[in-house]
Amino acid sequence: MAKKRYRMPSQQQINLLEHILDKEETYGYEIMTAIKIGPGTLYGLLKKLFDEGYLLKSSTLIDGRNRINYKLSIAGIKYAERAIMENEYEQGIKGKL
Amino acid sequence: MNKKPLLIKLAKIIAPKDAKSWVDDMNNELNFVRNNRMAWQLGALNFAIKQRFTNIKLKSPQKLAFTSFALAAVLAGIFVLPYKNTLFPQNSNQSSSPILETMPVPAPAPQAAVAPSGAEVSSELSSRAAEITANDKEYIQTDSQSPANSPVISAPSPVEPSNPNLKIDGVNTSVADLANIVEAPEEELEPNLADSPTTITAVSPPENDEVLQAEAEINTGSATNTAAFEATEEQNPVAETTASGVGSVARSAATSIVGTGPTGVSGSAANANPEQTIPQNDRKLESTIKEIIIKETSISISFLADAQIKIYSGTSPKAENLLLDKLAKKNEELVFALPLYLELDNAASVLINNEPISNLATEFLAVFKSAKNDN
Repeated sequence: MAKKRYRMPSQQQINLLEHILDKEETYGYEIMTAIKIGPGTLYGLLKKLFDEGYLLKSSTLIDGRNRINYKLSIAGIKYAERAIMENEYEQGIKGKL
Repeated sequence: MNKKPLLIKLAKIIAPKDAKSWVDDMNNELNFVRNNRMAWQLGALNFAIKQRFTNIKLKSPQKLAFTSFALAAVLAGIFVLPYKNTLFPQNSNQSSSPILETMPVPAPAPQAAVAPSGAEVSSELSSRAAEITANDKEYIQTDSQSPANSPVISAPSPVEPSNPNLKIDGVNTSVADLANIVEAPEEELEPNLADSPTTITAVSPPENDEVLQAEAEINTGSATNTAAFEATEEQNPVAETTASGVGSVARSAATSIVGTGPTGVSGSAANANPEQTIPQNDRKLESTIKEIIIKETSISISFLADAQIKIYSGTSPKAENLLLDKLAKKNEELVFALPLYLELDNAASVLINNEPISNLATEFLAVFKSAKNDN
């Protein structure tokens, strides 16, 4: 399998990655309220991460209702760490400039 | 089983296959959403629509292109063509360019299509120049030896234009005069012509009215110039040999440039009475000059065609400006036209010194002169 090319994620994606990395496992509504984006945008980003293999889905039954939880895969964790680090570096340079 | 809200159902319908499970996820999450559930549902619909548009892939772009073209054609046929006269008034169908309005469509010149290269042109010109020099020498010798020939050139006789319709820009120029132009140095020629405009002799009498009329049509640059020229050719074998292989425009242009007598280039030689005082050498020299001019004209025909037609078809100031612009833009073609300029200059000096020609012709020559100086 060809190695994936790294692409710098958008700011919304970085916020999402940061949140999932902090929480280890989270769900949609929580992410939406935490990073303050719309559900349409949020699920678009989640789907993208999932398709790239950076996100894992798991379902839990709470009060008879099914809840989908999301957590980063190992590749996703590496990707998130790198993205966050580069973002901080970029922000630092911008701050100095 | 949970009852799905309508918007979620719609979102699931809209969403592509790989996004349907995500719409289900959103529906499951909706159960835990307490505030603003409608926004969540709208978000699901938004997500489905976004996914639908991002996943569009054309199976056959060619088919789409063909279909859209066919649709556009059908729509144009239905909505535009019935109202063509309303949408596009009759005047707008005509060309906006006055040149195109007045210019007759010239027949394609066979030689112009295969224009010779610069080296070929220069070699041809040098050989022709040598030939002319030889002819001139021969002419001078013959002229000095035979006193019968000298009055033709030197002895002035009044110009009697037999038919005013046959003038080229109102000027009669004879074969002998042409020979005089080529032979005489410039400083001698111009004062001579300026002082005595009546030096032109040997105006050939019109023998055939049809021929004269046909050639007059050629010189006016009308749309019938080709037919008129053909009429001339039928009755004039000399013209046929002279202008063979050159397009009608080239022929008419050459005829106009030379500025010969009432009968034009071909007619003057053919209709000239042998008993008249045109020496054999004059005719030989004239035919040589004609050949050169026809060749040069065919080389630069694309450049000169417009100019010639404009000059001889009576121009408006607007057309004049356009023509001058065109001349200025086509500087590179002037390189090819420069040899022709020499002949043009000679012919035009006769024209200018004898009778006033149109301003356009003067400016046309001025452009040529300036181009010559630049080069």
